[in-house]
Parts: sequence; structure tokens; C-alpha cells
Amino acid sequence: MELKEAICRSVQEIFTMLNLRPELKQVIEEPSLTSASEVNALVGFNYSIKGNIVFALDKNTARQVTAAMTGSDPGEDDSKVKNSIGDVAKIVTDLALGKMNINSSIYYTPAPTLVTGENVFLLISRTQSKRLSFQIDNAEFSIAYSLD
Amino acid sequence: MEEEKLFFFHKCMDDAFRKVVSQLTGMSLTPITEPSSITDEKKFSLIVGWVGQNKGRVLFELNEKLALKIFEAMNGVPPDDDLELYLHLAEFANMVSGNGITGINDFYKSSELRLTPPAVFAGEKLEITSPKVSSAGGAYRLEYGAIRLEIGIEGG
Repeated sequence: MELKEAICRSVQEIFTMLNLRPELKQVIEEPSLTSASEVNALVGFNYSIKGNIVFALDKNTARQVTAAMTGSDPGEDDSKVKNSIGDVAKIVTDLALGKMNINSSIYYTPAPTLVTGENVFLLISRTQSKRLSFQIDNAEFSIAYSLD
Repeated sequence: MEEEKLFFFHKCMDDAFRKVVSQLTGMSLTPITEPSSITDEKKFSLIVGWVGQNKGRVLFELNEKLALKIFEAMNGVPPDDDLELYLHLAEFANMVSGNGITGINDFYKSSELRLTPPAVFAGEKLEITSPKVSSAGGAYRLEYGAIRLEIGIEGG
């Protein structure tokens, strides 16, 4: 299975458990330097394949996903939001790599790194990356990924 | 034990950082306790993860002015565009972490640490956090600003 397909399936499986129904809207080929969102969770990996995955959401969507994960509105609790988004990014990445027959008890991904800010730009690859844009209700999030 | 390991990892990365900065730029580094001068509107964060026995990541934070000066010192001329700057910063982070990981793997033979590709983030009010990671760090002042180096390992 290709990484794109593995990520899409993993997103569907994990978000369905959270009672969210993401719909893949767009797949975009991006140059190596691209804009990012207010909340970004980076998960790198290195095993038989090597690369980076970045979950990118605006603050409202991040709160919505956090509320679905924890069962309560996080309000202004940024640490709760960062923990939740980091967790979902790591779980989706591990599950996606698992679907690619990277069969190990450890999926070779370090803990996620959360990057928040304004006017954020991002480079995760020397060449191109791809971005999968998803819609959940009236909100959107995206997953950028690259393979070395 | 884990704390000991964390500080050893930090020492290896720190040694590698000072070596690479010296070789690439010839700039001198002065250790500082508080990197309060990384307050530019635009900040760069370079992140390289690693996997293996002790998963973790190294983070470098610096302001735009210093990032441009490091590029100039490496290349002799300013970058043509943002992309060139980001690519060189990614390579810089890769060189330091590659060097540091080699030192760690040489000491902890069973670690088998392998790097993930570098990621570069830049923006205003940039904040980096790594839940579930124990970290150790330090900062240096260079002629054109400060740079912070932080190591994080899972659990810890």
C-alpha cells in the first residue's frame, strides 16, 4: 500500500472512533517550502522508508478534534490541545506505517513535536511534498507528507 | 540512568554543534544562560528526530538575522531566496545531528539510532513543544544573535 492510501485509511479509522467523519477533499503536490497552519504536529519516521508527516490545523479545528478526543471543550487550555493533536498525529502515522507492512512492535517514529505560531512556513523535504486536505463538518485540516 | 543518558545525548549534540558551527562559519560561540535575544518577529526552528533504542529529537532555535548570517558564512553570499535559506538550514541541522548521533551510537553500541529527515519551521510567535519528552538544552550567543539547542528523549 502507498503512503497516501495508508494515511487516508488511518485518518478514516481513527477519526471514526472519535465520531468525526473526515472527507478527503484534495491532494496537492507542493514545492518543498510551503505555508503551514497555526497548529502543526510533526512526526518523522525512519525504517525501511524515511520521511516526515505534518498534521496542520487552525486553532478552532484543533479544539474540535481535542473535544472529540477528550470529551470536553478544551477552552483556552493550549497544553490539552497540543497533547491531543500530538497524540492523534502519532497514532495516525504509526497506523499508516503499519499498513505499509512495516511490521514491528515499534513503528520507528519519535514523539511528535508541536509547532504553533503565526504566518508559519514549513520545509519537510528537499524536493516535493504532498498535502492531503480533509474536511470535517465545517472545519478543515491537512496532512503534509514527504518521503526522503 | 535516563537523566544521565539525556545529558550525555545533550553533550554529544552540543559538541557536534560547536564543531560544525566552527568548521562551517568560523563564528565563535559564547555560552549564555538565557536566550532572551531570540525575540525577532520571525524565528526559525530546525527539528531532527531520531528513532531506535531511545527515540527523541534535537531542536535548534534562532532568529532570522542569525540564520541569514550563518548562510552567508557558509556560502560567502546571501541566499537568492527563502527556499535556499531553508534548505541550507535543514542541511546545517542534518550535519549537526548526524555528527551528534554518531557520537551517541559509538558510545551506546546497542542504541542503533537513526535520524529522520530535518524539518524547518519559520514564523512569528513560534512555539515548540514536545509532550512526553524530557529535555535538556543550552544556548549560545554569536555575533548576530543567539541560538538555542535542545535535546529531547521520550519518557526520560
